[in-house]
Amino acid sequence: MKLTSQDLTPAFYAAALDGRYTVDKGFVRQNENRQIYVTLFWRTVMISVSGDGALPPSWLSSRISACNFTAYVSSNLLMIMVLLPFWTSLLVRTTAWIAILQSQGVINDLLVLVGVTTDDARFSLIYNMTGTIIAMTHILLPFMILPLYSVMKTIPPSYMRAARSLGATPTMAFLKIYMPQTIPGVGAGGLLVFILAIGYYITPALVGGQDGSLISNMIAYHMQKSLNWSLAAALGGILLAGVLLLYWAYDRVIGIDNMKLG
Amino acid sequence: MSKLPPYTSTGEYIWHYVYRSICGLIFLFLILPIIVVLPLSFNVEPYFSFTKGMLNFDPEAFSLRWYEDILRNGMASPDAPFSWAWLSDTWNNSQWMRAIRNSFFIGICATLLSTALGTLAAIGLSRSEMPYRRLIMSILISPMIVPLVITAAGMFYFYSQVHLSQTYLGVIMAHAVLGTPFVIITVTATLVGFDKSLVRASQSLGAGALITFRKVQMPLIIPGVISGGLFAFITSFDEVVAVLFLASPEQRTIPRQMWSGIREQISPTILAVATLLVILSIILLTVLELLRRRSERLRGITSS
Repeated sequence: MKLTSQDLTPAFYAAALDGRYTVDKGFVRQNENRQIYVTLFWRTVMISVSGDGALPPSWLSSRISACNFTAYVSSNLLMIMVLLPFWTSLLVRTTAWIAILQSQGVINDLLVLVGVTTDDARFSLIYNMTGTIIAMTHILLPFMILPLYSVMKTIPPSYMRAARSLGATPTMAFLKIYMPQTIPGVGAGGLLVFILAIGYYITPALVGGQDGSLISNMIAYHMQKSLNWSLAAALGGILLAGVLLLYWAYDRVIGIDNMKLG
Repeated sequence: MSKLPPYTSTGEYIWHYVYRSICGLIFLFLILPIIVVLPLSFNVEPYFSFTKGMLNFDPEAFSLRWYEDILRNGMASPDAPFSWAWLSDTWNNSQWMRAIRNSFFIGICATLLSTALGTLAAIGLSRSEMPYRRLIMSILISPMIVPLVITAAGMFYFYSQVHLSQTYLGVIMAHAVLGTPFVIITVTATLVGFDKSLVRASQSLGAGALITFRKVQMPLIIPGVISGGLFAFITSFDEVVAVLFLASPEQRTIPRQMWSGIREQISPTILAVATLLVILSIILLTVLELLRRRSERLRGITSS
């Protein structure tokens, strides 16, 4: 009581970190079963990392568009396939994933048709963690591919040929020659995807259900439903601090001037 | 497709095709959701899934009813015969029509505002005598980076105090803030290729600062300005979090309407709207590509 009557109190930050702030004992951890916010923060971080987990495939795909399909037309077509999702409304893509992943959706129908599962044992792919991860990977993948592509475009293919002619195996040439040169793109894309993923709100709110919701959803919930604005502000403050730290790192490493769009 | 060199080993052959198929799957993953939406929006049944009839290409199974629903939903007398009265009823009362009107109105106003502000900021920031350039730049870009929920919540607190929340002006300003970073980035990128001596030349020939800007600088950076404006427009057009926090039902935009459509009454009308939005994004993509080519051509001329 004494604490909440003061103008400034760390109590809500403590609550946001699953603890309690008491006058005499300071920060005390909350009971095990009431620790939700730290779990939520961790889940958000994990999802952001798994968004980055899309890294190897996108790296492959940008590589293919960068070097293999040098023929002008097909490379352009592939670029459109990356850019069209990038330009399509977020809600359109989320709706599309609902249509595909829901229990009466395209994937489940297909699986029943093929005989992988029966009609009454359809997979629940949406309104849980799986749905969030799939939809967010799809939405954030272009943000990874585009920076990678712009870096890989500048690597001359003759380097790889030179390495091969000097006796390197394909794997060796790839690891020692090609990969080190793509590091700036990987850093730029990965950091950007991580920053975007950590504050994601719309997609998890629509396809996440209970266990797929992220920290942003909790902030919005406390703002709009439970009206615990101080707690929302504390959660938001922690998230903001994290994002600003990453932003600072991004600015340091890549420089915001070098950010490219489309 | 490039031919494999003759020294390729069997393992490499296999890897080559495995690699190709993995990449093919990734591109499929990217484009499939967008393609799936298109046929589903012509479904006769009020479901989100393919019916038997659709898979057999039965013409009975396809219809335009969800597209009509975009026009009809919320009208005073939706079954009245087609006439001017029906059209004005649609224009004034249909929920989706209102959302579409709001989206375009807010989007265009926000785009104009953020394009003007962003271009000015970019020109100022590109001058070498600008102090604290880096700091100011990162502050101006930050709306793009900071999680939308936080920005929107902050705006909600602030705008409520100055009586701007739940007004058109409030939503427009919020969207302008969110769109400005895109304009700054694209215009800054164009200004890198801008030859500063042209400004000095024009000034030495007696043009004032305004005329120099209008006649010399503006025509050269206009592709960047327009593509930045398009980015700002699509940002506003696609934005839902700020609208959720700031707007009243009066200012519902298309994404906001889709949001409540997905959460409350799921019907293929959303898929019909989604199809229309995909077409819109194809148009925008084409415009942007044409602009990019034009700007490359222009740059080719100035550098030679």
